[in-house]
Amino acid sequence: MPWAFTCDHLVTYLDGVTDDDRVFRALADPTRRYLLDLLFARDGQTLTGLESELEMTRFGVMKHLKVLEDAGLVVTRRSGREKLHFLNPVPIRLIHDRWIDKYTERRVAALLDLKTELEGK
Amino acid sequence: MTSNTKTETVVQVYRVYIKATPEAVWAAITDPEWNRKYGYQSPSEYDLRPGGAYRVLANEEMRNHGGPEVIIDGEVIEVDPPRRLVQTWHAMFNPELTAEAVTRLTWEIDSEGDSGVTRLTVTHELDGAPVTAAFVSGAVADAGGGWNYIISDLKTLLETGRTFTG
Repeated sequence: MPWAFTCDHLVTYLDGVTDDDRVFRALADPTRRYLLDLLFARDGQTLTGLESELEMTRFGVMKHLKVLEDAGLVVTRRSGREKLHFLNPVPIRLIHDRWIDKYTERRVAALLDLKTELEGK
Repeated sequence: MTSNTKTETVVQVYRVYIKATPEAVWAAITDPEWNRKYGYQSPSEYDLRPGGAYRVLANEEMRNHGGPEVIIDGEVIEVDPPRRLVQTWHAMFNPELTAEAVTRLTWEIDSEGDSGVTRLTVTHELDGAPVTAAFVSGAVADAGGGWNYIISDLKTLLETGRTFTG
């Protein structure tokens, strides 16, 4: 198991990989970040549409989309004969709430302490 | 870019995995005792039958700002507890939103095998409602984080018993 550590609010799935792991791994690739940017600019695109924006084989784009889908960052829906890809921002929001806020809060708190100390003199 | 001759459907999809039963997720969405606790703390009332009324009431802070009593209304279209709920959704907390088309909202609740994890997917079809679309996507400054914020908070409440605000 790559990750023995777990705590209350981390949901661990079948293979011991947490949802946070999947999101970080999915985001750790420039092509996948670019695919998310494409969906942010225009949501609900087909594989063919996304493929036309990348210098990559259809198979390569499919593989990246699969990683994004497994991480929950992309959700697909059928619309008639087309399979559309939608950006799901929720996992990024959850990462933000769990990790980013925690550290920026401390930095802000440190600055506030400094301000209090300096002004107190 | 692909060319698209048909009218483009404006759809937003939000998905979250929650360590809770489908029944708990269903209650968190449909029961005002639950849905008043997360997101914007506005109680949402559902008459859970096709044609039944849906309305979201202003929270105390909104009322103090002189907002309307009912901030969102709609109608229940399809009810299949605890799996699926389809409804219309019409925001009315400002005149621009009120003037827009009534939108359609689908809640889908699926079990992930027997892992105790439930998948919640919220699909919002927003044809003819660009301002509403901007609000619910969280793109409007100082207007909260939209669905992303609401369902993240719903997950937090069900998993920890606490919300972002308290």
